[in-house]
Amino acid sequence: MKKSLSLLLAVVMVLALCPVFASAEAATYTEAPSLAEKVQAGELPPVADRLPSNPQVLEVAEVGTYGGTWRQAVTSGTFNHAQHHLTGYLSNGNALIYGQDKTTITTGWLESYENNEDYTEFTFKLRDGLKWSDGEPVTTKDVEFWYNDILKNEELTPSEQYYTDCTLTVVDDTTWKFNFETGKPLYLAKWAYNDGSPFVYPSHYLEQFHKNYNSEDELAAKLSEEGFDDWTLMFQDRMNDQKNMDLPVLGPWVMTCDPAATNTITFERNPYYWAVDQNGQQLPYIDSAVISIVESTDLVNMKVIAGEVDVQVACVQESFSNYPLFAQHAEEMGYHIETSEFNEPNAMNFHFNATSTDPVKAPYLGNADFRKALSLGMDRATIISTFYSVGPYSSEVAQTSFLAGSPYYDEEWAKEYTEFDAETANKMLDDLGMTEYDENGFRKTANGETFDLVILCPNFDAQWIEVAEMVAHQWRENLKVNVNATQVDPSLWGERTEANDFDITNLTGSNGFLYVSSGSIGDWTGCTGYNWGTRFMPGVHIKDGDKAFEPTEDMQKLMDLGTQALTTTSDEERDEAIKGIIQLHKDNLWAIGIGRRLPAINIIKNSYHNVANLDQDWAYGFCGSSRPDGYWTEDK
Amino acid sequence: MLQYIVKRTLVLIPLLLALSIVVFIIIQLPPGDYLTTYINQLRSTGMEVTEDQIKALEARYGFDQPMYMQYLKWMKNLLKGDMGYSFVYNRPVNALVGSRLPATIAISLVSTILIWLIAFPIGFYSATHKYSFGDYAFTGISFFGVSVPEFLLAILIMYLYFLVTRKYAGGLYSDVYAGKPWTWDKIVDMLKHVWIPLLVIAITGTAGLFKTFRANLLDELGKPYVKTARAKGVSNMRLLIKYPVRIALIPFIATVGWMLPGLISGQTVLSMVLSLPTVGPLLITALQNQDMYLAGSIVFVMGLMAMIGTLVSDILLAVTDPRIRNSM
Amino acid sequence: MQDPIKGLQKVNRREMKRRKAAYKAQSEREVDSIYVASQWKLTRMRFKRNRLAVVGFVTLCIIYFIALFANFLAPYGKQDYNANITNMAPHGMHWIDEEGSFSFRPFVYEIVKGYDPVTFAPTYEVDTTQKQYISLFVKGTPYKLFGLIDCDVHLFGVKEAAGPNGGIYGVYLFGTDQAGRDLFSRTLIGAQISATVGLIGVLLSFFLGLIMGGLSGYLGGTVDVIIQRIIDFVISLPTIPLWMALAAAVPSNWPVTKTYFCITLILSLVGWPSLARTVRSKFMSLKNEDYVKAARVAGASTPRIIAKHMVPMFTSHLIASLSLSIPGMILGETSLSFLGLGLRAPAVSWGVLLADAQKFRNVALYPWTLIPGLFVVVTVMAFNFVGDGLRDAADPYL
Repeated sequence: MKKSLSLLLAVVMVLALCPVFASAEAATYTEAPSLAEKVQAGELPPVADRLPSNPQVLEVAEVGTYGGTWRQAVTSGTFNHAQHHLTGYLSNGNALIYGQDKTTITTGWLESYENNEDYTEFTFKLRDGLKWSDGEPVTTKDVEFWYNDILKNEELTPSEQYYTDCTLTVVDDTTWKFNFETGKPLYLAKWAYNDGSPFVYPSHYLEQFHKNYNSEDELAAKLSEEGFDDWTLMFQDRMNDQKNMDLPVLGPWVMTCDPAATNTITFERNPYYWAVDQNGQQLPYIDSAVISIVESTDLVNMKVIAGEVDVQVACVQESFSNYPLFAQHAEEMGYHIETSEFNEPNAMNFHFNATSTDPVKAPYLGNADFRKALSLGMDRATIISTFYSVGPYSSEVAQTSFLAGSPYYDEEWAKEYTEFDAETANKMLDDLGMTEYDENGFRKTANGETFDLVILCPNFDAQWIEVAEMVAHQWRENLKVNVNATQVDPSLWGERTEANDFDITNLTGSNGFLYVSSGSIGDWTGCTGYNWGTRFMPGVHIKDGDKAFEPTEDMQKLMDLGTQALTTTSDEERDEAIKGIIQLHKDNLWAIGIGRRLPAINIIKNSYHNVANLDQDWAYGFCGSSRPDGYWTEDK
Repeated sequence: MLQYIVKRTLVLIPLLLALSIVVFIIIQLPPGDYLTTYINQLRSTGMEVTEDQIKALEARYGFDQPMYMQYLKWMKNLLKGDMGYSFVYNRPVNALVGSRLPATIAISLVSTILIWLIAFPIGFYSATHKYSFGDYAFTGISFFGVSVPEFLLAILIMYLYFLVTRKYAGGLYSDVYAGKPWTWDKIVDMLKHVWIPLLVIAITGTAGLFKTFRANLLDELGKPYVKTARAKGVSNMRLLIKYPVRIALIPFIATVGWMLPGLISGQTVLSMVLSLPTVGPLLITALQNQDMYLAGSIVFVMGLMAMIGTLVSDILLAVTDPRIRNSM
Repeated sequence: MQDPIKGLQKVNRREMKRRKAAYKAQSEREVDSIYVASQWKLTRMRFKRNRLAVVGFVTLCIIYFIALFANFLAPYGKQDYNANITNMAPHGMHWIDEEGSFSFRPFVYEIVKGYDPVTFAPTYEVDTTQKQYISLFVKGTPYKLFGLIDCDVHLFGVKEAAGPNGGIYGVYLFGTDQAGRDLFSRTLIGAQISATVGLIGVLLSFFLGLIMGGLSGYLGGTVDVIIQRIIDFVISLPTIPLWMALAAAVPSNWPVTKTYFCITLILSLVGWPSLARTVRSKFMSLKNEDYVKAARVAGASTPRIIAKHMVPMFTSHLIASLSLSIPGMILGETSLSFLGLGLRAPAVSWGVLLADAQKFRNVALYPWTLIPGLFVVVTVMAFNFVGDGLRDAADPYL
């Protein structure tokens, strides 16, 4: 063991001493032993033929050796992004990749990209000789297939998304252009942030499932063979890299099992992967990957302390209270814990339904002074020391605001009304006319009606209801406002908030760093986690017509500024718009925060190398900018 | 007898119809549908879902049709043996349930047989050795067995296993064997995992059966005919096996049918704790996601099994117990 | 293996001896009274002789007494958060201090919170130089006794919680949870819901079972067939989906306890068939008994025959089966809470406490959070003892 380790170290050192050539020469490409065997046996073409003529050269910190299995475990919950995004990320190489700073963009399997000054024309070029995981070449034919047969097919894509209303011009086999009517300044950012191959699909494989390429009889035969009623359902299943193991992909690994049929999703290396390390070794280093689907996060935790998880963020990140459990076994089981900042700006915020249609509650829920009074009536220090304090870590008192570290951090917003001041709060409530009390000692409305509020708490995490109840308790005790907390399933919670049928709800907020992201107005309208965009944008679906509601004047302003921030091509204008958004939040305090979220937990086996900058964000498959194709492990 | 069976089977048809309607209502009872869940999911990943898209999705999943049409469509397919389509998994329900059924039935069957193999012999021993040390020991364990929450026991055993071996004990076998064909190594590996659920079931499941069997057998042993037979010199073991044990077993044989639905659902709670790939957790996920056809079909099949089980039980009861047989 | 019959004979001999001794021990008057005792009295006498059943009965009495006076017996309220003592191991009272001198009045030391430098788990240091005596009838968190009377007196506790070193004084017999709430208090208060909420549901399904089974068994014929098929139907409805559907359909502004109570009631509408089956078979066998026929011939009305002549014959059986179905409800509550379907925080029940305790970090690092599980086991076991005792006592063959 020791000997082989020192040998390994020697090899690594020798390799590290080798001069690094930015573009390794074609003749020097090497591959994993398992692939070399297949080449010997004539089952695969040689590595130089499988790689593009100019593969991406990933400069890894430590040049690695081939082998090993990367193990992770996630839960099979309702709202679990983890499973989807991990499988997507492992098998789906990115066209564009965000750098560590989340502002610079580099290429993935694209060779180059370009845009004109007003962001209406984007030119993309594929790496020459790029191949799908089954060895078929990737060409602009695949882009045309995506454009004509998926995007422009009304059955598959019923309405156009903000980023897809473009026209396609194919230049040659590897080059194409997208043209937009209006400028899309954040277009590239959108694709770099999200996972997935946004504009190519393996036409040679998918045509067999598409209506346009099959006669009705053929399609019917295919449907019965695959067990579907409807060709769109079949096509969407077959084109989904997270559900179909047969779909040719561009990622470092290829799924090798049907994820619906098993509790363990397995991956094998993609022999046609398009990146090499600085020494010309084809990536990825790690042979295979395994994701176990278990029934609860507790079982994930158990796998961690049993040393059956190698590198993982998903699921283990959520609750910092588990730190002692992980730390207790870390040394013995050979892993260590790192932390990363959450993008969610608050440990928990309380969002008030300012558009409530309840005649008794609406005048208060919709009143900024009422919300501010409740914010002052909250003893944040106690809440934090009880729930959000583990060892030396303790969350910092704050409203739900853009985070320190983002260019738009505003300390005034972060700290306003966070001081515990029951006296002022009670005076504010008195000023609102709530001066009479019912038989239980709770405040009545100015009109003398009994007044009670319910915090609708989604069951995303068992601790949420505890915190919500503590806050409700404080409001009852300190302010004599009758608030109670109740817990519901996420699906029911979604239904109720969608239908405007709630008083207060709690969330952790979203996008606190204001990453340029998915192209949703919601990302720009403030990080309360509340789906502003989806509720107030024109043409957005509102359930329960009888409970129809209108955004208030300030909310409408917020939407307009959000739209402006999203669409403007001028950086100054965007800054102005965001400043306006911040001011609106400061004035209205639609959501009351408690404090910053404790950091996310990342578990890393000591035997894994090149694992740095993991990210809690699902959109990066939880790997951030760390490039899992460059991980390597001593556990073979 | 035959007439009785035919009559009972015919009555099943309207009952099944009623069952399918009630199941459909239960599944539809929570507000919202799968689309709500799906749209929320899309939105929480930053996608915007417009009204057009929702309309298209509604049409695709058939949610735009009136409730009775949805029901009829489901029924029509059910009659053909097609349980519909799972929205969450993008798979036909038949395939989904089918992939989990072998493990489910295997676990249920093995645990049932295990329970019987343990409960009857020790019940027999306890009843024939009343107030002996062994009887007290078995009775004590069985009292503990019926009193301890199953999930708690499973978690504790799992943790103790971890403390001793430093290994994770969930699932049916180690991840490396997933999707691999059954080899000797895989079987050995499975045996290392599967004993935990079996042990839990043996403790919690055996207890009730043991207690009832012991009580039944004691009742029989106290009856005059046993004394008479013994007085007449019928050999001991023969006497016991031939009459009292047989009679004490009748209620169990007769209720075998009631185990049918359990065979399908598997040990739901236990499967959740230990992450076993049975149908139970699938049903829970389906219900939480309002995955209507998946949930509805599993619930319906469970109900169907319960009905068939009752029928089988009644017939078995008639076959085993001459008193009932003759009164028909 | 030992020959079972020999064992049996041995047991029978032993049993006979035991019985003889028992009879001898009884007074003459009591022996006489056996011959004229009513069924009830006989049952009671036999029950009293079953030691396990009596132990179970006494245990249940204690548990229900605790449930009744939980708020008074508990030193803290169910929502008394305290950040200074999160996840603290049980910390009881002392009688003997550092110097070895004994004090009849128990006292507690000051506890100061810290954390483990490696794992960050909270650690608690006891400062033996600072102590405070336990007082009886201390004023504490206000509560409503029996849900009616405003009160703030607790049986025991410490008068001053803040210690001079920034730590605290307190009695935490079962330790505390993640929010620093006293588990002992929460377990006692949890008994209120856990030990009672199932009762009403069981009672309702009991009466339904009695009526349906009675009708089916006594009337027979078409009524019997119809009720039998209804039973078949109800049995085939799976509980968990029904529960989930109902839980989601209940208005969200209802308090948890009310929701849970409501669903339990509805579920009892589904829970009656097994009892109905038992009742039916009893009725079937009894209605041909001579004394029932005699009553009928004598012109007694049907309700009178049922109420006066038939039901008393198996009431004790029914009570036994009732007392055996209550533990099912208690265990069911914990399982549902585990699945996230049952009672939920902020309500406090044993199921809620256990759902929290079953988190892996609690089992591994804070195992005292499992103590409520012990209460579940003890209560369920006591119900089983009593139920078994009642059944044996009611059985004329023993």
